[in-house]
Amino acid sequence: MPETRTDTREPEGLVQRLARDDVDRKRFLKMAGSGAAASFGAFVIAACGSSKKATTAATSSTSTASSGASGDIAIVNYALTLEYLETAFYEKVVQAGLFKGKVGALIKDFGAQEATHVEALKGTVMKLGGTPAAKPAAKFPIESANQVAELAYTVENLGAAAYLGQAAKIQNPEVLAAALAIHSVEARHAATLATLVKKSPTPDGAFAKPADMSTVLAAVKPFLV
Amino acid sequence: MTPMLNLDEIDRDGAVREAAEAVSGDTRLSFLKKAGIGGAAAMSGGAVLSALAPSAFALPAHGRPPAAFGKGDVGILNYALTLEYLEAAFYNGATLASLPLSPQGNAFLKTVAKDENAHVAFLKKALGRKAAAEPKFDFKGTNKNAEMFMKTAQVLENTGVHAYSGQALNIKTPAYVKAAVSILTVEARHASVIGLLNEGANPTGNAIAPDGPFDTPLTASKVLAAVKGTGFIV
Repeated sequence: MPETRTDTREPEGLVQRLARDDVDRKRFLKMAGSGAAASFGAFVIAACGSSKKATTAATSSTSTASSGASGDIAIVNYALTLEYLETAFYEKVVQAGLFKGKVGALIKDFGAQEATHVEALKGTVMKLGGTPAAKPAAKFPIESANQVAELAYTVENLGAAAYLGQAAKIQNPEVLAAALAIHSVEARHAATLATLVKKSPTPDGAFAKPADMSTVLAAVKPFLV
Repeated sequence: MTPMLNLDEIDRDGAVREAAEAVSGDTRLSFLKKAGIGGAAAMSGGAVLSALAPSAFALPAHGRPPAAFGKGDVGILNYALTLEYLEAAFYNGATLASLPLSPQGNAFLKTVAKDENAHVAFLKKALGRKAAAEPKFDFKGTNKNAEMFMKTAQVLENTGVHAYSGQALNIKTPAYVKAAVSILTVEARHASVIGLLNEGANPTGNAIAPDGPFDTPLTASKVLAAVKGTGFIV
C-alpha cells in the first residue's frame, strides 16, 4: 500500500529529494510544465515553498519568474497532474468491472467529474499563459473491489488535502475560485467512498487538514510509471 | 437542477423546498449546463473561470454579507457564525429528539452535531467580543421528524458549501481564509454523506454532488434569502 497523507513522519524535503534524484526531477518538471518557470529553483519555490527564507531567496535570485502568474501556473499544473492520476485510476477501475449497480454508477460518475476537472485545469493553465502538464503514465494496483474502494478513498482524501494545501498560495482570484469549486467536489467523493468502505467521512474531524506538495507528491509517486 | 427532495407530504408551506431550489445556484455555470453546453471537452478553462466567478463578484460588494454583520472579515465570520449557529441548533435539537434514524443516519447526526458545534466554538473564539449573538430558532418540526430531518439536513449542508465558497475569496486575513476553506471542505463532506443516505438504493450522484464537477459559490444575499425563506430564524 502506498504512503498516505496521514503518514506523520516528516516528509523528506522536495528540493532535497529532487536534487538527489535526477530522474525524479525530470519527471517532476515534466509533470509541472517546466515551460512556465524560468528556472527549476524558481518553479519549486513558487510552487511549494512558503518559508520566508525561501521566498526571499526566490525574489533576489529570480526576475519575473516568481510573479503571481507563474506561481499559479505551477499550482494549477500540480492540480492537473493529480486530476490526470485520478481520471486514470477511475478509468482502470471501470475497465476492471469490479463494481456493479449503485456503486458502479457512482464510480463512473466520479471518473467523469475528474475528467471534467482535467479539461478545466488544462484550459486554466493555457488561459494563464502556461503550458499544461503532460499526462503522466500511471499504474494502480487493482486487486479486489474492497481494495480499490479503499484506494479510491485514499486518493480522493489526498486530492482534497492537496487543494487545501495550495489554496492560500493562489494569487489569481478566478483560479482560486476554480480550485475551491473543484476541491469541495473531491471532498464529496472522499466522504461518499468513506461511507462505502466504512471509514470516517471526516478523517480530520471538524476542520480538514491541508497536505503540502511534497507530502502529496511522495504519496502519488508509487502510481507514476 | 435535479429536484432531489420530495416534501409534498410534510413540507406543507413549501419553505424547505424553496430553500433547496434557492441554493441550487443560478450562476452562469448552471445556466451553461441547462443550455446543454458544458460537456467535458467543451468546458474550456476560460468558460469555467468566468462561470465560476459569479456575476455578483463583479459588483463592488462582491457578494459579501450585509453591513449589519460587521465590517470586513468580521462581517464574513459573523455571517458564517450565524449559519453555523443554525446548523448546530438544528442538529442539537435533532439529537434531543432521539429520532428513529437508521444506524447510518445516527452516525451522520453524531458527526455533524460534533462538527457544527466545533465550528461555532471556533468562530466565536475568533470573533471574541465581536461575535454575533445566537439567533432564536424555530425549526418548525423539521428536526423532530426523521424523514424531514434527513431532507432538511441535506439542504442545510449544501447551503453551507455555497455560503463558504461564496465568501472565501472575500476574506483578507490568511488564517481565516485557511479556516474557511478547511470548514468548507467538511461541509461538503457532510453534504455528500447525507445526499448518499437520502438517495438510498439508487444513488445517481446528483445528491452527492448536486452541482456536478464544480461546487457553486453563492452570494450572501442569495444564501440569506434562502435561509429567511425557511422561517427558521425567528
